[in-house]
Amino acid sequence: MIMGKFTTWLGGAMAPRKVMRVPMPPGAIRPDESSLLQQRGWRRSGKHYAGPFATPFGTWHGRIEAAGDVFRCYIKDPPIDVVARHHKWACFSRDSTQGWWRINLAVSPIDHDVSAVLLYVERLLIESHRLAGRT
Amino acid sequence: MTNATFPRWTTPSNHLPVLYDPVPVRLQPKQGATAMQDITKRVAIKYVGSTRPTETVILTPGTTTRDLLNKLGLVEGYQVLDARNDTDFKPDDVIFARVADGDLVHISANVDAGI
Repeated sequence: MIMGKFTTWLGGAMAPRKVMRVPMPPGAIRPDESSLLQQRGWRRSGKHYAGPFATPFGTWHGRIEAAGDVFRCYIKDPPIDVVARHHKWACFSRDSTQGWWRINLAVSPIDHDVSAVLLYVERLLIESHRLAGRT
Repeated sequence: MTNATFPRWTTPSNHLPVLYDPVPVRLQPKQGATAMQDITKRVAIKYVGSTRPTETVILTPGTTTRDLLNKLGLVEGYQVLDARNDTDFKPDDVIFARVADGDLVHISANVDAGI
């Protein structure tokens, strides 16, 4: 039995690296294919998007503006005491609009996908809270 | 027969020193699976931003994040995230060793804050 398992493992370990696509079997429940932007209920107005950054630690108003190939990203009243511990804190700057902060993006999504920016900010907020020891 | 503990195996020296599990965890037994199918892992891919349909891929031992992205036609500018905690897999990570059969991973375009 042990030899059988070993042989099975060895066969796989020696096999060439390969990734294979698998078609969805008939009758399978289709997974949710809506974008993160849709899931969060963000609204679009021209090149401006507005909606919440939602994390297990709280929800903050957000705004994302498309400007050519780059995005400008804003968050209202971020948890400064928490985000200030993150190494990306230097990229936050107070905006002229009351309560809003701009997050300066050095790398914008290659496919101009606004959801990628949304996901990034939410991950940044989650990382900040974890760094601050909040669970 | 006793439950002997398998030794932990490392990849050859020209690969990353990632440990393989001799018997990967599988969420659902594959009926009538061959020995080769038995050690593969099925992973669901969710494209976070786009409306590109979610798809399922099979990974064989040693598959790296870069292998996966190449197969999906996403050569550069994209990242693979663990859907459980949104931590990212680095391009040279052996993603096969870090996911379980049936896991969900997210793919999103790279974004980074900077000055």
